[in-house]
Amino acid sequence: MSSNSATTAAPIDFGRYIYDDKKQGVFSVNREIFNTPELYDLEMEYIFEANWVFLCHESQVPNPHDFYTTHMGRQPVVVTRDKEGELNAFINACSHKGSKLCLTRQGNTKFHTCTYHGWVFDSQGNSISVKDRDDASYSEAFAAQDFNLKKVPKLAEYRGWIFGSLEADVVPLDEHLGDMRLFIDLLVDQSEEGMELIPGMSSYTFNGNWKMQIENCLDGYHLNVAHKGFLEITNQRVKRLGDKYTGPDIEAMFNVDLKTGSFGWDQGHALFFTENPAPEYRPLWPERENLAKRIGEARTDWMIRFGRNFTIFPNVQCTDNAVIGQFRVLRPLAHNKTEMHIYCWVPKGESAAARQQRLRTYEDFFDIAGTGTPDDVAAYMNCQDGAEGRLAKWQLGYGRGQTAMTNGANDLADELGVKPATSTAGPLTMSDETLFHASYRAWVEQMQAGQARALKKINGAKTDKAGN
Amino acid sequence: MERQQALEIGRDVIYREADLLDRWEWQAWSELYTEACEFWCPAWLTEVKLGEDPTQTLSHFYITSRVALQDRTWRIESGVAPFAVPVPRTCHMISNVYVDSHDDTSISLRSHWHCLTYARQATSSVYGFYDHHLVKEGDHWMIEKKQITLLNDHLEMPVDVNTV
Repeated sequence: MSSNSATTAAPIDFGRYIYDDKKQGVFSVNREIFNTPELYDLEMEYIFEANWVFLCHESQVPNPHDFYTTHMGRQPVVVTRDKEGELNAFINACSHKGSKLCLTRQGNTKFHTCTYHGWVFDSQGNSISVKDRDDASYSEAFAAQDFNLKKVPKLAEYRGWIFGSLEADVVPLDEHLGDMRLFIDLLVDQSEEGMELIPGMSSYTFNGNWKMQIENCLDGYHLNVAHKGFLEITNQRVKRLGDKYTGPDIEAMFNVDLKTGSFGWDQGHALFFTENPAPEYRPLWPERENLAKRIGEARTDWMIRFGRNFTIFPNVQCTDNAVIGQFRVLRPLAHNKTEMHIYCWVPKGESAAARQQRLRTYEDFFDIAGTGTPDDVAAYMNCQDGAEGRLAKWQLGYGRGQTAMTNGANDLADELGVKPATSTAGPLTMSDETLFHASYRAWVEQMQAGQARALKKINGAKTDKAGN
Repeated sequence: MERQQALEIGRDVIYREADLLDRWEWQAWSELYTEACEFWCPAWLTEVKLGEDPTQTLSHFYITSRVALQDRTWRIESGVAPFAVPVPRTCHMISNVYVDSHDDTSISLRSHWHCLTYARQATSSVYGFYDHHLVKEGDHWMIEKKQITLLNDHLEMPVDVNTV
């Protein structure tokens, strides 16, 4: 553990940031979880740099010698495919003086040459050339050190979703993902060829805490208020275009007879679903028999019948509803600033017309230049401003759905064969908020665990010369 | 038509476009566009490669009718979109304008732009290139196509049709 850990000598009780009365059915969040600058470094150390985080999708690094750069918490990382097509991941810094090695977001190169002193590495991260090595006059002990790029200790993928962990002592990815694997399957299996991200993305920052984004993507309650502008535009378009209108059927989406609900898991993952109003108009409807043969009835039913938004804690969120798919990857920069990279995902092999339809619909709402996401960003900025109101400590945003909640799996969970920690189901207007509990409970657990690990190292362990 | 005249006509249109947007004259702004038009801002695919095909790669804007532009300005002035409450103040500055090609009924212009937006007591800034294609409809020169190249696309604030 690095000696510049932000861990404080007096342990913090992270439980004080939430109010979790299971008996009374009251859950609340302390605004200090959003407005405390010191929590940022601890969240980085204890969560983002200590457990599995999403890195990229296979379609972003498809071929041998491809590379893709991203971050794990504060740490710049590059994912590569070596000459055998195997995935590798390293800290994106030359082992010589730490100059960032890969200077573009992605690319393809057999050898990575540092632009500072010319050290060369291959796509497995091996040091293959040190400039003027023969005349270096290194001591024997110096020369015996590891010159290779620093490997990310854990790297694994599930169905093309690539994750890494900077902490080696973590459960296998399959265990971390748990039931989320099924929900990844529900995306990837929509086409026999799998899914991909359409080239081009939006990257932006917003002045708000990252946990506001975690909530928002799974929040149905704000749709007809914060996104009223979008809904009104849609109504106007329906009137104007009549039969020629091809966008989402908004009026049908607000049919109060539609079922909705959520699941939450101990790892902090969460999902909310809403019944699609007219499944027979979904692009997948004609495929349902083939799909059922490929993946079974229950999964086909869920793919077509329910729109789904989910979080794989802590840093990736996905939307699959109506005709659009959105992929969101977040990175906290400060307690009050977050960086986002968002993409449109599509099933591979769709017709050109279908792909265009998805692109236009995604751009219209989800893109940072669209009619939807900017209003979410405004909500984060407004909430961050409001969170400075320390006098009002506790928030009321976590109570909807409480009495419709089951501990463990409900019927819908059983249908799918998933085992969430909590399940909820109700009418559309219930707008569940219990699904946020999972992420905050996981936050507390992971912060406590991270602090315990850090304190153990500070207080007890012998260190080597490098302070490890 | 001489090139110098094309330049004067073209500059007039694109300066007026910026002015109408900045002064919140939404209807008049949209009426500078032909009914079927193209308002296109492709996303960058890499640091050096811009998207070229809106059917294949992401665009931040790909709006192909005047009424669709009006949908966007309706939302801005509606008061129901939290991001536009209150309506941001914008200042578009256009320079380096020159005529790429022209004939008697069409003018293609290139220019550089910088838009400063004031909202929430702070200034945000985006900039880049414009490619305008103007056509003559009756007595009026209208915008048939506007391609916006957004250079600083790692955004500090969301963008809209009035801030690019």
